[in-house]
Parts: sequence; structure tokens; C-alpha cells
Amino acid sequence: MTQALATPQVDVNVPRFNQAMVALLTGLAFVAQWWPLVAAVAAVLAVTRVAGPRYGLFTQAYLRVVKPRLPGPVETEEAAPPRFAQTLGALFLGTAAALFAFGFAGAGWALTLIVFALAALAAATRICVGCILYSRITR
Amino acid sequence: MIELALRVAQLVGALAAAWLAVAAWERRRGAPRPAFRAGLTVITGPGCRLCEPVVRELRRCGAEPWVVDVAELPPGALGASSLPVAVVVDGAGDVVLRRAGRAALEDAGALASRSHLLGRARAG
Repeated sequence: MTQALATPQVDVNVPRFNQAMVALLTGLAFVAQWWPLVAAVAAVLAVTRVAGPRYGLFTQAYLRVVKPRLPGPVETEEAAPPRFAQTLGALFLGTAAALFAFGFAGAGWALTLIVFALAALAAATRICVGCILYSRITR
Repeated sequence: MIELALRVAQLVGALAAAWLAVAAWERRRGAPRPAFRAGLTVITGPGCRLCEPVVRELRRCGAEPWVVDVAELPPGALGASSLPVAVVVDGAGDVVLRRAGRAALEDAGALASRSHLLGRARAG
């Protein structure tokens, strides 16, 4: 009988760092009213999801710059819920970018603010709304 | 300058709105309780097919986990939320080891042994 593989795990700080970067950059984009930055963040999230964390800009920044400076053992969690949340973020920001491109700036910024607020909340408090949605869907 | 200040205020407003929405949700669920007590806790839920095997395996490894339903926890206490989640918490309330899903079953030995070590540290 084939042994089932262990559930993929991820360092708990990886999703938090990603969320912090998304919050920072989308917040900056909103303050500067520069929507290409929103499109760039959407692209980073999409590439990370499609090609894997090895190609994720934020993930690599964490692994190369932040993680070597963190003391103590690494706590891990299941990877699927934060990946689902990241997919939602990519979809929301991708939609926002499309809205900007077609001249619907108000709707674009509204979606961007939603992503900013939820990413900032998750980074600061580990309350990941996307992760909670994932558990509701898969339970 | 005023426009810039207005945008920053809107950012803060968006964050506050998200925070208030989560707080309102928590209030609906009742007063917040401490998420986990010291020792080994297994969070289970309805329809969780691995929950019973994880609890059985932990007991087989000599641990006596505190089993709690996810509905009894305040929102956000769980972080990532695939069930079951097994956490070992020290006396200061810090999570020292955490496994979710199938990893909780496969690492039951490590979870049990870590909780024993903490129990000895608290008693000693």
C-alpha cells in the first residue's frame, strides 16, 4: 500500500512576509495613485502561485534576507490555506489592474484597498481571512 | 499635501474597517478566551476525517491531548486552518510546536515527546 505523502508545510513567516509586502506596496500605490505598482504586485503573486515559491520575489527576499537573521527554530504550518489566500490576492489585484487599464479607477482602487486591508491585518495579527475561507470550503 | 493626507487617512480607514469587521465577528461568537492552554491541544471540527486518528495516535504515543472543537476558539486563534491542528504550548503561552493535517498524524511522536518535556519542565 502506498504511504500517503505528508501535507506540504511552509515556514509560518513566509506568508506573513508576503502579506506585509503586499500591504506595503498596495498602500504605497494607493498613496501615490500609481496603479502600475498594483499590476506589478498582482504579477508577482501570480508568478509565485503558477511557477512556485522558487520564483516568488517576496518569498525569495524573505529566504535570502530575513530568515538568516531570525533566531530559533522555524515553526511550520500547512501550506494550502495561505496559498489559497495568495491566489485570492492575485485575482483581486489582477482584476483591479484590468479595471485601471479600462478606465475604472474607482473600482480598481476599491479592490486594491480591500487587498491592502486584509493583507495588513494578516501580517499584523495572523488573522488570515483567505485561510479561514479555505477551511470553510474544504471542511 | 491635503490629497496625500486624505489618501493616508483612507488607508487607515480601510484597515480600521477590516479590523472592526473581524472584531464584530468575534463579538458575535462571544467573549474571547485564551486560544490554547499549556500542553498539547488538538483542534478538531465536524467532517474532519483525520481528527480521530490523530487523537488516537497521540494517546498511543503516551500523550493526553486536550481536544477542542474549532468552533470554541476565537477567530484567528488557529492561523492556517486545515484540521486537525495539534499544538504544543509552553507555560508562557507560546506555541513551541505545531502540526496540521496529515503532518499531525505523522509527527505524533514528536508532538507527544515535546509535550512530555514541557510537562516535566513545569513540574520540575
